[in-house]
Amino acid sequence: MRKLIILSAPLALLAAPAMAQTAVDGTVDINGSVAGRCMFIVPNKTISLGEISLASNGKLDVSKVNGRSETLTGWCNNTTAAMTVTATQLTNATTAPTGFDNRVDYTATAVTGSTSANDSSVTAGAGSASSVGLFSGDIVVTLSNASTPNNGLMVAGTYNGNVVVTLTPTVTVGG
Amino acid sequence: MKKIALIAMTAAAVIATPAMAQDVTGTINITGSVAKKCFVLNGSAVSSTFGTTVALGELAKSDGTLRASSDLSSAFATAGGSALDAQVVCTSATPSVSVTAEPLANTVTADTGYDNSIDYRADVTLTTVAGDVTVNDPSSNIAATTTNLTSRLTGTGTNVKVRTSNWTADGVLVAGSYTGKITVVIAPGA
Repeated sequence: MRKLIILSAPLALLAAPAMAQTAVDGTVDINGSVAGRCMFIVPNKTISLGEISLASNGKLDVSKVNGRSETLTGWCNNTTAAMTVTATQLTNATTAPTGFDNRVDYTATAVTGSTSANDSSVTAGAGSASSVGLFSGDIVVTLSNASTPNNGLMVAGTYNGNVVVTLTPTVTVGG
Repeated sequence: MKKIALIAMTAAAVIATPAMAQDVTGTINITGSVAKKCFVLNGSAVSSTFGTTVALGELAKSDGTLRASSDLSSAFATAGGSALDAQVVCTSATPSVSVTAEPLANTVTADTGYDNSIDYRADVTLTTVAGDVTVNDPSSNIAATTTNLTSRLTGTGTNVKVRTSNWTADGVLVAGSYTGKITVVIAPGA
């Protein structure tokens, strides 16, 4: 009898079914981000106006300023990106007595695609921001409305000013 | 276990931190210049010259000698009128001024006791921001009298006045026409 039991053992082994296997998986989530960003590819240019006074009467020759332009290149990758312009007047360090001027004001307008922003140098600080959204390409800066405070005689010497175009990635314009 | 947690937190922070949005600027520098120059303003008209002809009329007294200096100085100012005053402006701060007075001369030869040349002194007064500057040039001296102004000519109103003084001649003036000239040159300077 004991032998039979021993013999039956292999039967028991044969009868044991394999346990049911449930499918399992593991997941690796992948995420990343791209920050709102703007960049200038061409960040600096110079407009050389040359002689800015009229030979005939020594006052500002507005034709030397109005219409002059230069082109910066840049991009923004954010729909809420904005552009502002800050125009700083041209000045000469030499004091201007009564009847003379040592300052030239103007309006600077920056245009990229169908968007523009501008600023007058008459008042300090930046002009209003304009929404540029996603863009990549030229930003053309043009000068206009040149004037002097007193329509006076221009003091001799060198005059320097600048236009700063600021691209801000995340600004809600008018919001 | 703590070590594992730390590593996990660090990794998560790296992945989650976005790059900070940052403004960028592009700059266009603008340069220009104004050359040194001078010109004459007459209202809104601009020119490079000013002046007039001053007709003094009879120069001699009844005794044939030259009229009194003060008389001629006054006659010069009256006959010349406002044309003897000008507005000259310079874009430069320290213009140079040159004054040359040439005697009134008659081409007729003057024998002993007679004179055919009348001398005088040109007195040119320039109004600068720092005050008046007078340049005097005697016609007896052929050379010009020059000076460099130390401050700017005023930017408004008349700022150059031409007058005369010290009229003189020796003996009786020979009859005929006398002509002379005062030349004022105002240049931008250094």
